[in-house]
Amino acid sequence: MSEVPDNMFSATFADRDVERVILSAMMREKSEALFFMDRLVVDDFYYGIHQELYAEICDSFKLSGNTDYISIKARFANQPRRQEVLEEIQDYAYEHPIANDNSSKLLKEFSSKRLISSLCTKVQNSLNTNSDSSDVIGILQQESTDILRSRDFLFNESCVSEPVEWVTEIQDEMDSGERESNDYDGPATGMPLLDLKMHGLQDINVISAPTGHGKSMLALNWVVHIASSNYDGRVLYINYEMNRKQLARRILAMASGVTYDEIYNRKFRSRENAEAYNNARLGLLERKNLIITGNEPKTLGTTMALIQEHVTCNNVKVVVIDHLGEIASERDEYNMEHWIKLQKYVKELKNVTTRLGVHLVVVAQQNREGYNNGLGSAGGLGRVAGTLELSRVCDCFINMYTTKDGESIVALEKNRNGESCKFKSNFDGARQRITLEGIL
Amino acid sequence: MTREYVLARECATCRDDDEECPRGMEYLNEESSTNIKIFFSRKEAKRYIYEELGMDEEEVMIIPKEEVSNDEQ
Repeated sequence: MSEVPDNMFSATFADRDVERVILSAMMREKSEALFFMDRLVVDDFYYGIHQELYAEICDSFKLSGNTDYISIKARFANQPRRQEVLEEIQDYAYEHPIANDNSSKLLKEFSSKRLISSLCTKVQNSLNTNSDSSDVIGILQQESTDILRSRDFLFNESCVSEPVEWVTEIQDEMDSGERESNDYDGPATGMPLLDLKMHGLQDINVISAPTGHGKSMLALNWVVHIASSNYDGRVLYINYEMNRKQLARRILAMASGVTYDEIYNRKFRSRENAEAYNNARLGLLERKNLIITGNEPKTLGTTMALIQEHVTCNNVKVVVIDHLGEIASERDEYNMEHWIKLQKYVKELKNVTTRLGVHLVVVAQQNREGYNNGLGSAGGLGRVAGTLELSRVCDCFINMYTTKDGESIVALEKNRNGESCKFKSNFDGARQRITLEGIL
Repeated sequence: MTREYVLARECATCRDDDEECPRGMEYLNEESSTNIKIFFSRKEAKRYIYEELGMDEEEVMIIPKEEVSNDEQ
């Protein structure tokens, strides 16, 4: 007999046995049924009949709390094929002992592959009908994010936590002994007073101020500190304003303590300064953990793709957006109100960074009300250019302003890791450094 | 109503090339087309497995067509 030609069978992403093991486990124990119902949806199953059985088990649980074989079989009266399959699979979970988390991961993996495969077909068809390349990229980005989100939801376990899980999580930390100083969940910002209150960088951090108040400088100070410490992730600084040389010189000035002018003029005032510059340069080259971009226009799509690529492939754990208002408009956004556009950006950025589990620092410009009104009560949560959304979703919100007496203030107005407070700040423009003096 | 069947097997590439790769399924296509080949009886499907493919029921499964997801058909 001749060999079966390779192309006679076409592959698909499914495993009939795994689907049956899951259904069987759901009928074995109510707790197992709950485990899968928490993690899977009907479309994760490939076979039509398995989809029906899964949906019926879910319905039965919701209505009566029963998921056992007899109850499910009774729901398929007069449907011999369904009853036959139920009978075939009732002992499957015993015969093929696969751990529940492994079987659900496997099922989700197949389901993701099917979705990716159909996304590829959709995109190919879209290209064939001569759609705009930007529209096609939009489809790819949106739908691939959805696929990842649905898959990662499973990998990070369900979003529901029983008390035993969340209480134990904290207790485990307690049992590991006292936290050392400068040890936080996120990387330290390098400003001891701020770290004392913020407990390091939080998930979404906003720095807001009117023009020229040192927003970028503060973000860069944090970034340079993180890049010079032993933090195990890399930093991506997405820059929309400064040209690359300006940004690079500012970083070198901060890292070395040498003035910006000395670096610009390539002339050091002392041998020590030359050495400090050289050490900072070598340190940055050696650690390779600070990635910057130039100021060429970047749309939200480009920004998201940059974040996705660098987090997935380059171990980036901190992303800085400098600044939100400078994200370039797509063609379909030209007619959008500025604040609606910003609101959309904030939501998308939050989704992508939350999904990828990175710390995000957003620099945001304030609108005109944010400027000092002469009474010393400038800025604030509601005055970030156009968007309340940003202040709503962020974990920590820093507002920078100058009082009527000319004092520079860094105010921590929202802090999900503790209390809010204000600090008097000192700017060393020459060396691009900001220091905080005391809590007001 | 006559029941229809399709033939499926464990994805050969996954099985041969990579033990770590989770198994996928392959469906038998019509000759010179990407449509899945339909059999109108289990007996006919069985005959095809043994006589045309030279395989046995351990290697190739006979699955009722109604069980296969609609996208595949």
